[in-house]
Amino acid sequence: MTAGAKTIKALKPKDERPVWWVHALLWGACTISGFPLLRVLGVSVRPGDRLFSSTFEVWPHDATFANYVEVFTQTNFFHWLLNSLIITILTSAIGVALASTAAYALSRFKFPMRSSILVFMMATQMVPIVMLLLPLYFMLKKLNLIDTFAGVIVAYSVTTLPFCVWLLKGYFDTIPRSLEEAAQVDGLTEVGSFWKIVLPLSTPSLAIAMLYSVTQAWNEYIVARVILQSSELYTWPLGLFELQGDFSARWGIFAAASVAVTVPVLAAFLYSSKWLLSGLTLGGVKG
Amino acid sequence: MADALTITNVTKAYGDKVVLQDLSWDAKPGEFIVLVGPSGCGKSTMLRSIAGLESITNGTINIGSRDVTHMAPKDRDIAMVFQDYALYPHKSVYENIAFGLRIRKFPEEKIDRLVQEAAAKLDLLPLLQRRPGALSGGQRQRVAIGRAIVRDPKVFLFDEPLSNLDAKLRGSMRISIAKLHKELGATVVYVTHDQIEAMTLADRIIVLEGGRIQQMGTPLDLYYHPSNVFVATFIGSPPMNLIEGTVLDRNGKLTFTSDNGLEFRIPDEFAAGVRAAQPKGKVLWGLRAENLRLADGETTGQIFDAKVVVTELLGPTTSVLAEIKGHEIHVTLPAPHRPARGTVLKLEFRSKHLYLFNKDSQLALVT
Repeated sequence: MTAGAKTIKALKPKDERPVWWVHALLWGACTISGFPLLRVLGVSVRPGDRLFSSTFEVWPHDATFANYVEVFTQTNFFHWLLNSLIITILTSAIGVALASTAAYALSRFKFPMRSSILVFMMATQMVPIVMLLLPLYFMLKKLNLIDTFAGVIVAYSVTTLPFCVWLLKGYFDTIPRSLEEAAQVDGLTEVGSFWKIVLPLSTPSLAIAMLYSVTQAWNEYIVARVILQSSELYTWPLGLFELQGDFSARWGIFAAASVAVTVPVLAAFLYSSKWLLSGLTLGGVKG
Repeated sequence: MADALTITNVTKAYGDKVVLQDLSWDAKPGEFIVLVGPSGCGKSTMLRSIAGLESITNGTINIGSRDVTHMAPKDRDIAMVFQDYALYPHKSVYENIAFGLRIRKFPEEKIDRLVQEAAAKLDLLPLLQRRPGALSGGQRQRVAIGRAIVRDPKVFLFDEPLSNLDAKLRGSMRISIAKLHKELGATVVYVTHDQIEAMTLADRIIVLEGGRIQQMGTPLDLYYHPSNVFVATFIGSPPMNLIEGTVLDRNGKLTFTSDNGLEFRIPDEFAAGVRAAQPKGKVLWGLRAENLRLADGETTGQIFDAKVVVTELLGPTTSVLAEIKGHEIHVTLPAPHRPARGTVLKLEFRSKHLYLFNKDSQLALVT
């Protein structure tokens, strides 16, 4: 008993008072990452005559939602949003479906070139997307996918795939093989055990893969700019860029639209946080 | 209802590496077969081949009259208990046990009845709503067994189910498994590297080594009539002592002489058997720890002087490592004896069994 208590005490930090410089560092980091967001929020509610004011004031005393009203009523904002939503949902669904099955194969089966494939996929992540634009354009042109949603979805799905495959493979590797074997003895097929045992146990990593695909597809500009040419197919980043007048950018509307597009992504993050709880696999097998 | 299991000429190879070499054996309906052997002997591969988790290179596997060699695990009507339990961590104990029944689309009332029955048999009723993570090792192992018995399969497969438990729990789980087997009358194939588990649980034991069957028989058969040195030393604790030497006929009396000059006149009751085997060249004389006794009043006349090296008190018995003419020998003595290091004990050979092996072929000369 005494020995146990001593051990536990020894494991605790000697001094539990907060270390001031750690706190200072964290506050500094929060300010640097949070300030621009608050600034955008501030700009979005400023009356039109004070857009370029450089005060540090976040919420102006004469705040107005005029910019929001204008974005929602005078532009095709909701149309762009819908386009983005369609592309994002399909991209992440296709991406995660492909990534999870590919990752499962790479995790569970032995076949020639397995590790080369993994390294190659990692290598494709090192090439900046701008370098791929031209070949991507020609490829999609040959496939008649220029100026279609399908073109963007294909481009996005394949670019997010390598990261998702690596992420999921790493997670699948930690799930004991015997769980699937037990399920197969219990009456499932190999596909069934992947679907009913491996995927439910992988929700934290699936959620991360999904979020990664969502944010990639939701915020992307350059590839969309090249592939989508008709204005009715525009995603919100393209649409927003259209708002730039010939002579001056309309920062108020810009900011309001930016805040508005943040909301769905934020909601997705908050919703998925419950799936991010790890530790679900603990206890199934002898550790 | 239990079914027979028939393994015919099963070979399994990974590339050039052959792990199961032409194995043939069978389990009668309701029989408890234990596959035992050191790590890497192929016992787990054999079990996984029966389950269908490994495909075999050659041969056939029959359950009852069905050839299951090429069937998927789910179609073989078997249940398996894994070494690491392999419980579904995201499901409750109840759902873990019910899983196989749900897949087979049993009606809900029947599932509930069967799960409750299995849980009652294994004392799991208070734990049904818990997740595996909240259970102790022994409880998890019981859930794994519950998941197996609830489906009433033709054959049960156990893959070293007790090796992750502590010694005390292992003992009680061993008894639970034996009881369960009596109760269910199921055909069981049980893999272990622990010869005590093998001896206590099995109707018949199969000793595997290097992917080959070394011997198959009842536990006592293997203990008293090992067919080779491997089986003789693997079965029994402490392992059988082996002394290298030669057997010579001196004036009609057969005598074993060790390399260090230890002489043992082979008792008359064994002489005919040894003569028939015509031992030539080097032989190994096998001595179980209980084959040597302290010489008391009535002796057979052959007394060995044994110098005590180590004494281990085990409670009911005392295990002594002693030296006879430079050969280190394990001897088991009754509890009251606690010879100190360096003591010279007078030991005599007393046994209904004599173990002699050909050194080159490692095969038993007398059985």
